[in-house]
Amino acid sequence: MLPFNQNKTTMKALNKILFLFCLLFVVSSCDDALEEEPQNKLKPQTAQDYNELLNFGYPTTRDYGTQVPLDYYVEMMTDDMDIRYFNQDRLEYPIHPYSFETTHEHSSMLNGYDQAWKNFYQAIYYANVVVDNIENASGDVGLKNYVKGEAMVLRAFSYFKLINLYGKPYDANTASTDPGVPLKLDPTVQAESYTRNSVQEIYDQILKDLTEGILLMETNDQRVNSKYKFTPISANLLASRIALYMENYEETIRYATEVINRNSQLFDLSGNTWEFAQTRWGYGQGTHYLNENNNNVLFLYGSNEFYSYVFYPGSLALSDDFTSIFEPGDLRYYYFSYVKGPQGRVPFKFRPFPNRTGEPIRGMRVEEAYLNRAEAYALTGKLGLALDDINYVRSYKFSSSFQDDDDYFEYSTEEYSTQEEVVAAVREERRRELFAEFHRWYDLRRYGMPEIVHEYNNETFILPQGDPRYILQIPQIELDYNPLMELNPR
Amino acid sequence: MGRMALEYDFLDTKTHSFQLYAGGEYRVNNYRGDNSIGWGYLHDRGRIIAPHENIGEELAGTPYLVIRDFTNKSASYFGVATYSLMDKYILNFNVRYDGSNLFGSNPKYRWEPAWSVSTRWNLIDENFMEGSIFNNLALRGSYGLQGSTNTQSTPQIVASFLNPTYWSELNLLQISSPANPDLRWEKTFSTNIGLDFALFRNRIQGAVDVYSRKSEDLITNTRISEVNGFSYLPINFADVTNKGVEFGLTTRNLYDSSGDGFNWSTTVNFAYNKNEVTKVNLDPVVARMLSGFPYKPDAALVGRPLNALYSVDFSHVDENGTARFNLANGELTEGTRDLQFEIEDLVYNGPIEAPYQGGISNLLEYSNFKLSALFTYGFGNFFRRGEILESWMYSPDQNLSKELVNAWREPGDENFTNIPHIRNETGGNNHKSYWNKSDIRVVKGDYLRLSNISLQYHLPGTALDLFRLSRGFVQLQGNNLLLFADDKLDGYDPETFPYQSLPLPTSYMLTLNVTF
Repeated sequence: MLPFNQNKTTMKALNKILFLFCLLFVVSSCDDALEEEPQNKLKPQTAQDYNELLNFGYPTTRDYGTQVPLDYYVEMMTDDMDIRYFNQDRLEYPIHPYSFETTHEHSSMLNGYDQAWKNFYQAIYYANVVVDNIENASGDVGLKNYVKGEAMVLRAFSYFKLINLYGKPYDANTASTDPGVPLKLDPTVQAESYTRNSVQEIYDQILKDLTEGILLMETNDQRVNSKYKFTPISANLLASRIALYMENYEETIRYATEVINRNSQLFDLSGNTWEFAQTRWGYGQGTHYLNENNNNVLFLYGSNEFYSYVFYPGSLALSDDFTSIFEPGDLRYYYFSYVKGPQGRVPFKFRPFPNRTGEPIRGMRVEEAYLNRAEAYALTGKLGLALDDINYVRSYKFSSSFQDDDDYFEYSTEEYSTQEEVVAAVREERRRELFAEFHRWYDLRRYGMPEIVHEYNNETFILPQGDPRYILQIPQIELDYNPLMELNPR
Repeated sequence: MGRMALEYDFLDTKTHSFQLYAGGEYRVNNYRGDNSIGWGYLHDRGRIIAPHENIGEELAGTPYLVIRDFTNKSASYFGVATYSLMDKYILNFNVRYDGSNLFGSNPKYRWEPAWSVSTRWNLIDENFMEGSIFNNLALRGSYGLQGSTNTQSTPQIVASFLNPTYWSELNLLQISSPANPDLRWEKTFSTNIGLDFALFRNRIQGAVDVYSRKSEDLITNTRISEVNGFSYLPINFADVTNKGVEFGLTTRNLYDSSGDGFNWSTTVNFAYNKNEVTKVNLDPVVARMLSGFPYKPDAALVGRPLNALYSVDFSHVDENGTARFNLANGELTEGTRDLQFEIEDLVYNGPIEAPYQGGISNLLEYSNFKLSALFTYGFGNFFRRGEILESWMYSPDQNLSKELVNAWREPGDENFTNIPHIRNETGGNNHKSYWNKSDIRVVKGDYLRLSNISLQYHLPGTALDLFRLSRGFVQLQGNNLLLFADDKLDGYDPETFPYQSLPLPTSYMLTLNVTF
């Protein structure tokens, strides 16, 4: 079946006789005669225009089947991943980050280079356009303030992603001298070089945007229910994550509690039996974890570009180091992974339906609020509260009928008596709950950048503790066209 | 469309003449077009539409109807003033303004100006030229300005409507061009001095022109730092001068005034152009400088042509089959990995476009026969041959250049070959990709081509009468018959190679042309 193509065109030349002396002698008055008549273009003027511009700014796939490549490669460098059976004719790329080459970039990656840089800076550009101009737009003041606040949160989010890809993990003692990323807050576009601001300057801006943005959104709430836009509640979750990364535990607890007070719904697996999980779950079963209809999902962005690296035979699988931390009765193990031939057990969080490639599968879920708060509690010595939070999460993830003992999965302060033990338990829970959702790499960075060992084909690749490769190299295309850009050390 | 013109002769005497001609034009085009796509159309099954059940999934987001509805308006006005004194001294002033309703265009730049002043001195009409060997002699001169602007750039943000997103169903507005208030006009100032001459009863005719064109604020869409949120931006990137000479000469070597005898005439054309960048606002990028194809603004260097060829300086292939290169500091590159070159490490090979170009044609006529031959030539430019080495993955089904037969295979081969090994190498091993961009791959673009030969036979009067024709001839013509060029081009055509197109084909044509 071929499409037919039909073109119906009418050309009309309108004859207009103008007062020609105007043409000949008074040029400026003729400008009216040349007034533009756009069909599909406009100059943004209303609050709604800016709202729609901001919608475009999200680093999220727009069309069916297209991808917005972000930080998919970080997952390939974590200790959660393993390569057993590798088919480089199919997908050459994973071996490069997996073997910790000096740069994560390789011509075999999506579109040939790292596009997270570009996509997050594009989000920042749109946010800058909105923040800079919306006050002069026409329309409802409440909407204007809300959209401005949302733009600030998107800007904070984008800088937060960038600084954690290309800058050192936040350390209050050195942040003011550690090179971060260029800070650009105005929407001018120019053929100039940009230099890197310090990690501290970037975080200062992130905090400023977050506080102001959340305040604007909350005081002018528009009751937006799209999960593809930041809302006051997802902005609070973002703030709790950022506070945790900055080791500001009081704020982590405060923001996470804000989230939990408004939404404490978790994705519930507990009704399933262990036998059912072992035998019946596999490819294509169940609701996928970041489905926009799930009540625990607060924000969705990005695309499904990571999926191909587990979908095509001969690529990433879960490491033994990771799978060994699941306990009996933990349904997440079977719900979110399955055995894929010689490749091994592969992560399967996104459960993409055939033909759903490109679906936004990155996001933020309520579970993270509990885990953020638990970690902050643990690190501030509130061990009981920390264990309460992870026990709450675990109650939704373990089979309720696995053992007669109803609370068999719960941790107690009797078993975990020291702070180190509780912190370790909370972090292990975080690893199990959030795996393959682009958290692990960033978590390892803030845990002190521990050594990672990868093996493939009898070769061992080691990323030593604190290695500079924990800070990704600036994309080559940026180095090419921005001569003042400082490289990260290697 | 509206148009108006005024013509006025202010003065018209034997010695003075002054004319003014001015006009304006205003044009409006309304365009309305619908383009519909019918998926599942079965033409030979009764033209029914039978979309498959999965069509929604497969074609989600694909439009079935595209509506285009817009109005183009343009206006222009112009004026010409001509003054002539005794038909010997002529002064001419020309001005023209064009404007259009491009969306978002800056009112300041909505009108594109162009003006020129030209003058002519008909020396042949002077008294002192009486009785000379000249039949025509005139001196010309002109100076003018042409401005043009980039139609994509706007001083303020312009957004376009997009389809609502597939996943979130949010409405979207995309910024199609960022605000670019700094963009200035491209301006070209042209100066031209010329001499027309004819002598020996027009047996020799010719013209010589010397020109200088200075282009300021050339616009290019350049790659920019992605920190901007955009990857490309039109900017005023350079000033460029073009200076040159053009020369044309036609001689009637043999001339039989009776008309039926043997005639032979020759036309020679020669042009020389020197293109030079005088100012650049863009930092050159090594990767772009090494690209072999023309028009790469971010590779412009002051004092060099705009389209220049640069290479890395190849030294030799070492005992490991690794390509080694000379660096500006006198050292050699070491190893296969992570080679980096700075601008000063590159060598300048020459312009990509031939600075010397021209043609020679001969026309021979005898009785009813006419034979003409045209040679064209160009020289002074350089190309780099195609890239034949890759660092990774020679798969069994891949076509490779036959040059690779001579690639380095084992120690000792380096004494005979300049081609590095062809083993697979990963990641940062880039010595082979730089070998592709080295000066040993550079060839000269000089050529001489027999572009055209044609032989015509005009039917004689008796034959014309017989078939009641008013005119008729038979012609045999051959195009691109011979090419003399550098052997190392290996079959590539020096005129089409830099544009990555196929060589000009050789063709023959037999024509019978009759007029009733």
